[in-house]
Amino acid sequence: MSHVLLKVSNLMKSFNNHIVLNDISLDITKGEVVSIIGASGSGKTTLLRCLNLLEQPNDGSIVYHNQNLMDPTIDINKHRMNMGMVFQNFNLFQHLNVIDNLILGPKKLLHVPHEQAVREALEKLSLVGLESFAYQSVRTLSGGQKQRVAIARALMMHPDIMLFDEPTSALDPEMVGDVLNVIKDVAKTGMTMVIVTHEMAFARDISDRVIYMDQGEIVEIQNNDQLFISPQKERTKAFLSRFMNT
Amino acid sequence: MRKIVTLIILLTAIFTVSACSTDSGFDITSETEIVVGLEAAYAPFNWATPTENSFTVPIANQSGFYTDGFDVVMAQEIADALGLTLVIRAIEWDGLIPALLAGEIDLIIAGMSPTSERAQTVAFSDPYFQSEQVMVVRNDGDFANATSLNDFEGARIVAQLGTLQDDLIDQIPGVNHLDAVNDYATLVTSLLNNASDGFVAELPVAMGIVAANPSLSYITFADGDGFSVSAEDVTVSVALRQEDTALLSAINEALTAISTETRNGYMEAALSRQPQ
Amino acid sequence: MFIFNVLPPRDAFFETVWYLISNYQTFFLTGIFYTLMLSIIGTGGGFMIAFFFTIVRTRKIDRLRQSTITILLTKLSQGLINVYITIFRGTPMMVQAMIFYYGVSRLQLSFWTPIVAGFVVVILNTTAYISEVLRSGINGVDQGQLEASRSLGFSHGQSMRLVILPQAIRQSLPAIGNEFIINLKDTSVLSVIGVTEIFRATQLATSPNYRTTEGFFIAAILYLMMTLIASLFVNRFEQSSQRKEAMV
Repeated sequence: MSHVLLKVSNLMKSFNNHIVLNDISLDITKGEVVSIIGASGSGKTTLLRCLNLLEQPNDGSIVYHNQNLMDPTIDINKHRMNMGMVFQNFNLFQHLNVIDNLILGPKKLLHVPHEQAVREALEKLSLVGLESFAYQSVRTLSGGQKQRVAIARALMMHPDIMLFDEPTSALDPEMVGDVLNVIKDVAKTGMTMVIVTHEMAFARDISDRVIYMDQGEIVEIQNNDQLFISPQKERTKAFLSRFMNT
Repeated sequence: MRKIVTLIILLTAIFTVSACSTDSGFDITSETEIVVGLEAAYAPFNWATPTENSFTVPIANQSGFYTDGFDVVMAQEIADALGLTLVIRAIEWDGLIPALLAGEIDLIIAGMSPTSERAQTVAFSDPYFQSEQVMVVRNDGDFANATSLNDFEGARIVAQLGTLQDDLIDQIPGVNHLDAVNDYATLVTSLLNNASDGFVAELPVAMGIVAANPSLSYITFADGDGFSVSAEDVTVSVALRQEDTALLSAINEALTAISTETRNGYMEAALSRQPQ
Repeated sequence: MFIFNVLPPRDAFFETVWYLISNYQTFFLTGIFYTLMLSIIGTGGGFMIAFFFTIVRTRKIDRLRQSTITILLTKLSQGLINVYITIFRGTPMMVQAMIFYYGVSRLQLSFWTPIVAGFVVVILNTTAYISEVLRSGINGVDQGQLEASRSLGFSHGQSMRLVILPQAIRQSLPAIGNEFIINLKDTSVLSVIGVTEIFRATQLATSPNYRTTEGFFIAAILYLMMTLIASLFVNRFEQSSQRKEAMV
């Protein structure tokens, strides 16, 4: 039974009178993996960041767990605990070591006891292959390792949806594969995921739906790998042709 | 934000409550202590010392610090006459009168002259010491044998900034009035190094300086040969709050019991105790 | 070494120095004690208040989510804090000491002594300076740290407390250490309200004997010793944190 986890309706966002999101509507169903592709400036990152209100839309609604996230009276912090975000630049807490990065949220926000949090953190770290790094400073890690820790950190809060903002764009090519594999593992657990990415092969491989955005609008959405195989719109074709030749 | 509002309310409360504090006149019969303020940096009237002797009085709330000097001796005499325990506070010169008005101290016995300006704010007792203005010179200088102001014509004379002594210099005909300096130590250095020919000082202070510096001496002037000064400028009195009228009479009474000879004796004794 | 009981002659500089040190030990020790206490408590207290001020200063106004009263109070307190910082950084500590000490004296509060006033003034003064240090420290922390923290579900205040300020403070420690060293020297201005720190202790020790040069020579040595030792600690810390950065 598919139920809609996140319902975006008529979302509008402008920066300095420049429209970045133009009447976006989108339903994310539980368990699906949605990839968003498009050129820089298409609004895909802005859309993702609107989903957990990191950016404040100007108009429209985002309904999550029966609440409109844009309603000023709701407690946005509570909702964010259920939404995990992974950033292009990792954003690990520099003053904490790896394991402390993971347990900070659960301990302070979910009031998980220390030992339990540590146990779970070590578990998650071994899932991403980094258990031996638990007590190291995050500054000693490579980019790929940092991102895997970041994913583990987000998962520690037991979110019901994970948002990925170009998770491999800042990585050296040899590390991209490891991180993509971790993301695939997360998808296999049935996690609802929205991924903004430039990795076309990855998107094609993992997605239940692929969205192509351009100039603040959703141009085309198709299931699985159909967007890549038979794009309908001219703009989509033009965009893909730039990538598919490589 | 809540915290700031609370703080503001709390402060307002404190201010209002304490503004209601009453200040009735000093009642000798009900008080046990009398608090005297002095600078502790104006020898031989008052100075600070780390060693106790039979004359020293500890500085309140400052363990290891004692005061000694002519003013300390007089303060003890007055306290004894009033039957009160003496407490001394060391306060910066400019803070003495504010401290008196605020009730932190009850008397100022600090070598303070009863000028008409000060008398507008505080009350003064009868003088408890009379001094004269003298000139300190080098023994090997041109003016070692001067006897009157006229003998200092053309001399380079200096005094401490902001004092009566600096104003007096212009009474010397044809004097070269040097720029005032900050303290007595600088005056002494200037004279020793021949940057000046003499400086004006009160007699007790000059006596102390000369005893510490054998190459210097001081010149006293006979009546008419020296500086013209008003009485208030050469005496020192005890300062009190204007409303403490009973205290004022009691102090004046106590002072009449101490003769001029006794006072001069105390001054000489203080000079001898001053670290030389 | 001899202990001089009699004041050495005027030209005997080092004998006079030794005379002053040995005979006025208690004065100088008291001076050192108060200078240190004022600096330590002043810098420590200033830091704590600045920490609190900084959280308030960095609070973002959210017109949608916050009630009008909250927004008004936030703006008011931010405005007050900024005025406070401007005033305390824009006036000499000596002037602040005079105003505070004599102003509050009029209220005739029994506990308001020069040393209490001294502590208050140093703390208030240091708060203003460290607030600015922390503010630039915070600006130096990457924006992404706040985003990651908010995304996990931490409130603004929690993010500041748990993620941003710890990093800002670590960055600011050399500057805070320097503020401590500055306080060591600047507490000398409290002498004007009668606090017996090193400067005033020296004044008291030299007034009956007029050996000011020798006395303040001693004071200079005392200040130098303290600032050198403090600088050593600050430098050591800077070096060790630079080494940690370099390990990346």
